[in-house]
Amino acid sequence: MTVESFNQTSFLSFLKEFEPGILLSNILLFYEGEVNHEITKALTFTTEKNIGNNGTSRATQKKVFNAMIECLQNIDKHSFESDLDNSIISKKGSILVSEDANSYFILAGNPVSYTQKDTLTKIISNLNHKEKKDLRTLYKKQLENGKLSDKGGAGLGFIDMARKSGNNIKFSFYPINDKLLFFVYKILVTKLH
Amino acid sequence: MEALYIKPTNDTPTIILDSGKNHFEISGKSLPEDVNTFYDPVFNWLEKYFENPNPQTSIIFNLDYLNTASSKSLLSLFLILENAIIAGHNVEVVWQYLVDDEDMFDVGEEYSEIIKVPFRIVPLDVEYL
Repeated sequence: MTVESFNQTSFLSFLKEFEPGILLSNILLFYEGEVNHEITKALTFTTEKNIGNNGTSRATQKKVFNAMIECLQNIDKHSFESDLDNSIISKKGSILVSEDANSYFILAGNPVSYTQKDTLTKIISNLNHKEKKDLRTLYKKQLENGKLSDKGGAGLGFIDMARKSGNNIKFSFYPINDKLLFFVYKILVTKLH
Repeated sequence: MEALYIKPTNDTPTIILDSGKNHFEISGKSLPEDVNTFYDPVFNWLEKYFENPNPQTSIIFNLDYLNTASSKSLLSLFLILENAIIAGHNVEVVWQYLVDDEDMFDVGEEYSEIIKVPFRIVPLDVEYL
Protein backbone atom coordinates (compact mmCIF):
# COMPACT_ATOMS: atom_id res chain seq x y z
CA MET A 1 0.00 0.00 0.00
CA THR A 2 1.41 3.37 -0.92
CA VAL A 3 1.14 6.31 1.44
CA GLU A 4 -1.18 8.12 -1.00
CA SER A 5 -3.87 5.54 -0.43
CA PHE A 6 -4.33 6.61 3.21
CA ASN A 7 -7.46 8.63 3.57
CA GLN A 8 -7.30 12.39 3.87
CA THR A 9 -7.89 12.56 7.60
CA SER A 10 -4.73 10.54 8.21
CA PHE A 11 -2.24 12.36 10.43
CA LEU A 12 0.42 11.15 8.02
CA SER A 13 -0.46 14.01 5.69
CA PHE A 14 0.44 16.47 8.48
CA LEU A 15 3.69 14.66 9.17
CA LYS A 16 4.56 14.88 5.47
CA GLU A 17 3.75 18.57 5.38
CA PHE A 18 5.83 19.17 8.51
CA GLU A 19 8.83 17.17 7.32
CA PRO A 20 8.63 16.52 3.56
CA GLY A 21 12.00 14.74 3.51
CA ILE A 22 10.83 12.11 5.98
CA LEU A 23 9.58 9.80 3.24
CA LEU A 24 13.08 9.65 1.81
CA SER A 25 14.55 8.42 5.09
CA ASN A 26 14.32 4.82 6.23
CA ILE A 27 11.02 4.57 8.10
CA LEU A 28 11.19 2.11 10.99
CA LEU A 29 7.74 2.65 12.43
CA PHE A 30 4.53 4.50 11.74
CA TYR A 31 1.54 4.30 14.06
CA GLU A 32 -1.70 6.22 14.16
CA GLY A 33 -4.53 5.63 16.60
CA GLU A 34 -5.32 5.57 20.29
CA VAL A 35 -2.36 5.07 22.60
CA ASN A 36 -2.42 3.26 25.93
CA HIS A 37 0.24 1.69 28.12
CA GLU A 38 0.21 -1.68 26.31
CA ILE A 39 0.54 -0.04 22.90
CA THR A 40 3.33 2.19 24.21
CA LYS A 41 5.25 -0.88 25.36
CA ALA A 42 4.61 -2.86 22.17
CA LEU A 43 5.82 -0.02 19.91
CA THR A 44 8.87 0.95 21.98
CA PHE A 45 10.09 -2.57 22.77
CA THR A 46 9.81 -3.61 19.11
CA THR A 47 11.65 -0.55 17.85
CA GLU A 48 14.32 -0.84 20.54
CA LYS A 49 14.96 -4.43 19.55
CA ASN A 50 15.07 -3.63 15.83
CA ILE A 51 17.55 -0.79 16.15
CA GLY A 52 19.62 -2.88 18.58
CA ASN A 53 20.02 -5.50 15.87
CA ASN A 54 21.54 -3.12 13.35
CA GLY A 55 24.65 -2.22 15.33
CA THR A 56 23.44 1.06 16.83
CA SER A 57 25.26 1.93 20.06
CA ARG A 58 23.48 1.16 23.30
CA ALA A 59 23.51 4.83 24.32
CA THR A 60 21.79 5.90 21.08
CA GLN A 61 19.33 3.03 21.33
CA LYS A 62 18.32 4.20 24.81
CA LYS A 63 17.91 7.81 23.68
CA VAL A 64 15.51 6.72 20.93
CA PHE A 65 13.64 4.46 23.36
CA ASN A 66 13.43 7.31 25.86
CA ALA A 67 12.08 9.81 23.34
CA MET A 68 9.51 7.29 22.06
CA ILE A 69 8.26 6.55 25.58
CA GLU A 70 7.83 10.24 26.40
CA CYS A 71 6.14 10.98 23.04
CA LEU A 72 3.68 8.09 23.44
CA GLN A 73 2.97 8.98 27.06
CA ASN A 74 2.23 12.53 25.91
CA ILE A 75 -0.41 11.17 23.51
CA ASP A 76 -1.79 8.76 26.15
CA LYS A 77 -2.05 11.44 28.87
CA HIS A 78 -3.26 14.07 26.48
CA SER A 79 -6.33 12.09 25.45
CA PHE A 80 -7.58 12.45 29.06
CA GLU A 81 -7.35 16.23 29.14
CA SER A 82 -10.52 18.08 29.81
CA ASP A 83 -10.63 20.97 27.41
CA LEU A 84 -10.78 18.68 24.37
CA ASP A 85 -14.08 17.54 22.95
CA ASN A 86 -15.04 13.88 23.02
CA SER A 87 -14.53 13.24 19.33
CA ILE A 88 -12.68 10.12 18.23
CA ILE A 89 -10.02 12.20 16.52
CA SER A 90 -9.01 14.01 19.70
CA LYS A 91 -8.17 10.67 21.37
CA LYS A 92 -5.78 9.64 18.64
CA GLY A 93 -2.15 10.41 18.05
CA SER A 94 0.61 9.46 15.72
CA ILE A 95 4.28 8.52 15.89
CA LEU A 96 6.82 7.95 13.16
CA VAL A 97 10.41 6.78 13.70
CA SER A 98 12.95 6.89 10.91
CA GLU A 99 16.68 7.12 10.34
CA ASP A 100 19.32 8.28 7.93
CA ALA A 101 23.08 7.73 8.08
CA ASN A 102 23.63 10.19 10.95
CA SER A 103 20.44 10.42 12.97
CA TYR A 104 17.22 8.94 14.22
CA PHE A 105 14.06 11.05 13.88
CA ILE A 106 11.05 10.69 16.11
CA LEU A 107 8.00 12.59 14.84
CA ALA A 108 5.00 12.61 17.11
CA GLY A 109 1.74 14.46 17.24
CA ASN A 110 -1.81 14.69 18.45
CA PRO A 111 -4.78 17.05 18.20
CA VAL A 112 -4.76 19.98 20.64
CA SER A 113 -7.03 22.92 21.36
CA TYR A 114 -6.15 26.50 20.39
CA THR A 115 -5.44 27.30 24.07
CA GLN A 116 -3.03 24.37 24.28
CA LYS A 117 -1.28 25.64 21.16
CA ASP A 118 -0.24 28.81 22.96
CA THR A 119 0.94 26.94 26.05
CA LEU A 120 2.93 24.38 24.05
CA THR A 121 4.50 27.08 21.87
CA LYS A 122 5.67 28.91 24.98
CA ILE A 123 7.05 25.79 26.67
CA ILE A 124 8.98 24.41 23.68
CA SER A 125 10.29 27.78 22.44
CA ASN A 126 11.62 28.39 25.93
CA LEU A 127 13.43 25.01 25.91
CA ASN A 128 14.89 25.60 22.46
CA HIS A 129 16.67 28.74 23.68
CA LYS A 130 18.37 27.03 26.58
CA GLU A 131 21.91 25.73 26.97
CA LYS A 132 22.47 22.21 28.25
CA LYS A 133 23.29 23.38 31.77
CA ASP A 134 20.17 25.56 31.93
CA LEU A 135 18.01 22.62 30.84
CA ARG A 136 19.56 20.64 33.67
CA THR A 137 18.68 23.37 36.17
CA LEU A 138 15.15 23.58 34.81
CA TYR A 139 14.74 19.79 35.00
CA LYS A 140 15.83 19.74 38.63
CA LYS A 141 13.52 22.62 39.49
CA GLN A 142 10.57 20.94 37.78
CA LEU A 143 11.38 17.61 39.43
CA GLU A 144 11.35 19.21 42.87
CA ASN A 145 8.36 21.51 42.41
CA GLY A 146 6.26 20.03 39.61
CA LYS A 147 3.03 18.42 40.69
CA LEU A 148 2.51 14.90 39.40
CA SER A 149 -0.73 14.70 37.46
CA ASP A 150 -2.95 11.62 37.63
CA LYS A 151 -1.36 10.28 34.49
CA GLY A 152 2.19 11.02 35.64
CA GLY A 153 4.38 13.31 33.64
CA ALA A 154 4.89 16.25 35.97
CA GLY A 155 5.81 18.48 33.02
CA LEU A 156 9.18 16.82 32.69
CA GLY A 157 8.72 15.07 29.35
CA PHE A 158 9.70 17.85 26.96
CA ILE A 159 12.59 19.01 29.15
CA ASP A 160 13.86 15.43 29.29
CA MET A 161 13.59 14.97 25.52
CA ALA A 162 15.35 18.29 24.85
CA ARG A 163 18.19 17.35 27.17
CA LYS A 164 18.75 13.77 26.13
CA SER A 165 18.53 14.44 22.41
CA GLY A 166 20.80 17.50 22.71
CA ASN A 167 18.99 19.07 19.74
CA ASN A 168 16.24 21.66 19.37
CA ILE A 169 12.68 20.38 19.17
CA LYS A 170 11.16 21.47 15.87
CA PHE A 171 7.37 21.81 16.11
CA SER A 172 4.32 23.09 14.27
CA PHE A 173 0.51 23.16 14.29
CA TYR A 174 -1.94 22.38 11.45
CA PRO A 175 -5.65 23.24 11.67
CA ILE A 176 -7.99 20.23 11.68
CA ASN A 177 -11.26 22.11 12.27
CA ASP A 178 -12.38 25.23 14.16
CA LYS A 179 -11.67 23.63 17.57
CA LEU A 180 -8.63 21.44 16.98
CA LEU A 181 -5.15 21.70 15.58
CA PHE A 182 -2.69 18.91 14.91
CA PHE A 183 0.39 19.50 17.07
CA VAL A 184 3.50 17.82 15.66
CA TYR A 185 7.10 17.85 16.83
CA LYS A 186 10.38 16.24 15.93
CA ILE A 187 13.03 14.83 18.24
CA LEU A 188 16.38 14.37 16.54
CA VAL A 189 18.78 11.87 18.09
CA THR A 190 22.27 12.06 16.61
CA LYS A 191 23.85 8.61 16.20
CA LEU A 192 26.80 8.10 18.53
CA HIS A 193 29.42 5.60 17.50
CA MET B 1 10.41 -7.13 59.63
CA GLU B 2 9.09 -9.09 56.68
CA ALA B 3 11.13 -8.61 53.51
CA LEU B 4 9.58 -7.10 50.40
CA TYR B 5 10.53 -8.82 47.15
CA ILE B 6 8.96 -7.73 43.87
CA LYS B 7 9.93 -9.61 40.72
CA PRO B 8 10.79 -7.54 37.66
CA THR B 9 8.43 -7.18 34.70
CA ASN B 10 9.12 -5.52 31.36
CA ASP B 11 8.00 -2.18 32.82
CA THR B 12 8.79 -2.41 36.53
CA PRO B 13 12.08 -2.99 38.36
CA THR B 14 13.20 -5.68 40.79
CA ILE B 15 12.64 -4.61 44.38
CA ILE B 16 14.61 -6.23 47.19
CA LEU B 17 14.02 -4.80 50.65
CA ASP B 18 15.36 -7.32 53.13
CA SER B 19 16.42 -5.99 56.53
CA GLY B 20 17.40 -9.49 57.76
CA LYS B 21 20.00 -9.85 55.00
CA ASN B 22 20.72 -6.11 55.04
CA HIS B 23 20.08 -6.12 51.29
CA PHE B 24 18.26 -3.20 49.70
CA GLU B 25 18.14 -2.92 45.94
CA ILE B 26 16.08 -1.46 43.09
CA SER B 27 17.19 -2.53 39.63
CA GLY B 28 15.91 -2.74 36.08
CA LYS B 29 13.43 -0.73 34.05
CA SER B 30 10.87 1.62 35.55
CA LEU B 31 8.02 2.79 33.35
CA PRO B 32 4.91 1.48 35.13
CA GLU B 33 1.43 2.31 33.94
CA ASP B 34 0.65 3.80 37.34
CA VAL B 35 3.68 4.90 39.35
CA ASN B 36 1.68 5.28 42.58
CA THR B 37 0.30 1.74 42.57
CA PHE B 38 3.78 0.37 42.01
CA TYR B 39 5.79 2.56 44.40
CA ASP B 40 3.36 3.01 47.33
CA PRO B 41 4.17 -0.43 48.88
CA VAL B 42 7.88 0.44 48.55
CA PHE B 43 7.40 3.79 50.33
CA ASN B 44 5.30 2.14 53.06
CA TRP B 45 7.90 -0.55 53.64
CA LEU B 46 10.73 1.97 53.93
CA GLU B 47 8.83 4.26 56.27
CA LYS B 48 8.10 1.34 58.59
CA TYR B 49 11.68 0.05 58.34
CA PHE B 50 13.16 3.40 59.37
CA GLU B 51 11.22 3.30 62.62
CA ASN B 52 13.83 0.73 63.69
CA PRO B 53 16.51 0.36 60.98
CA ASN B 54 19.77 -1.58 60.81
CA PRO B 55 22.91 0.32 61.99
CA GLN B 56 23.88 0.95 58.36
CA THR B 57 21.56 0.97 55.33
CA SER B 58 23.00 0.98 51.80
CA ILE B 59 20.43 1.04 49.04
CA ILE B 60 21.60 -0.01 45.59
CA PHE B 61 20.00 1.55 42.54
CA ASN B 62 20.91 -0.11 39.27
CA LEU B 63 18.39 1.26 36.82
CA ASP B 64 18.51 0.56 33.15
CA TYR B 65 15.69 2.93 32.27
CA LEU B 66 13.57 5.44 34.13
CA ASN B 67 10.71 7.39 32.58
CA THR B 68 9.94 10.92 33.76
CA ALA B 69 6.87 9.82 35.76
CA SER B 70 9.05 7.35 37.70
CA SER B 71 11.71 9.98 38.31
CA LYS B 72 9.24 11.86 40.49
CA SER B 73 8.50 8.70 42.51
CA LEU B 74 12.20 8.12 42.99
CA LEU B 75 12.52 11.63 44.38
CA SER B 76 9.80 10.81 46.94
CA LEU B 77 11.73 7.69 47.86
CA PHE B 78 14.93 9.70 48.38
CA LEU B 79 13.00 12.09 50.63
CA ILE B 80 12.19 9.14 52.89
CA LEU B 81 15.92 8.41 53.08
CA GLU B 82 16.66 12.05 53.80
CA ASN B 83 14.17 12.02 56.68
CA ALA B 84 15.84 8.89 58.07
CA ILE B 85 19.17 10.74 58.08
CA ILE B 86 17.59 13.71 59.83
CA ALA B 87 16.30 11.22 62.41
CA GLY B 88 19.93 10.18 62.99
CA HIS B 89 20.19 6.96 60.97
CA ASN B 90 23.07 5.90 58.71
CA VAL B 91 21.87 5.72 55.12
CA GLU B 92 23.63 5.83 51.79
CA VAL B 93 22.64 5.46 48.16
CA VAL B 94 24.80 3.40 45.82
CA TRP B 95 23.89 4.61 42.33
CA GLN B 96 25.18 2.14 39.76
CA TYR B 97 25.17 2.89 36.04
CA LEU B 98 26.70 1.27 32.98
CA VAL B 99 29.89 3.11 32.13
CA ASP B 100 28.67 4.18 28.66
CA ASP B 101 25.32 5.43 29.96
CA GLU B 102 25.97 9.12 30.44
CA ASP B 103 22.24 9.91 30.83
CA MET B 104 21.87 7.54 33.79
CA PHE B 105 25.02 9.01 35.38
CA ASP B 106 23.43 12.48 35.03
CA VAL B 107 20.22 11.30 36.68
CA GLY B 108 22.18 10.02 39.69
CA GLU B 109 24.25 13.17 39.93
CA GLU B 110 21.14 15.36 39.84
CA TYR B 111 19.44 13.45 42.63
CA SER B 112 22.62 13.72 44.67
CA GLU B 113 22.44 17.51 44.26
CA ILE B 114 18.79 17.72 45.29
CA ILE B 115 18.79 15.27 48.19
CA LYS B 116 20.88 15.46 51.33
CA VAL B 117 21.80 11.78 51.36
CA PRO B 118 25.34 10.44 50.77
CA PHE B 119 25.49 9.20 47.18
CA ARG B 120 28.13 6.84 45.85
CA ILE B 121 27.97 6.91 42.06
CA VAL B 122 29.55 3.73 40.74
CA PRO B 123 30.25 2.95 37.07
CA LEU B 124 29.79 -0.68 36.03
CA ASP B 125 31.59 -2.25 33.09
CA VAL B 126 29.48 -2.66 30.00
CA GLU B 127 27.92 -6.08 29.99
CA TYR B 128 29.18 -8.56 27.44
CA LEU B 129 26.26 -10.85 26.89
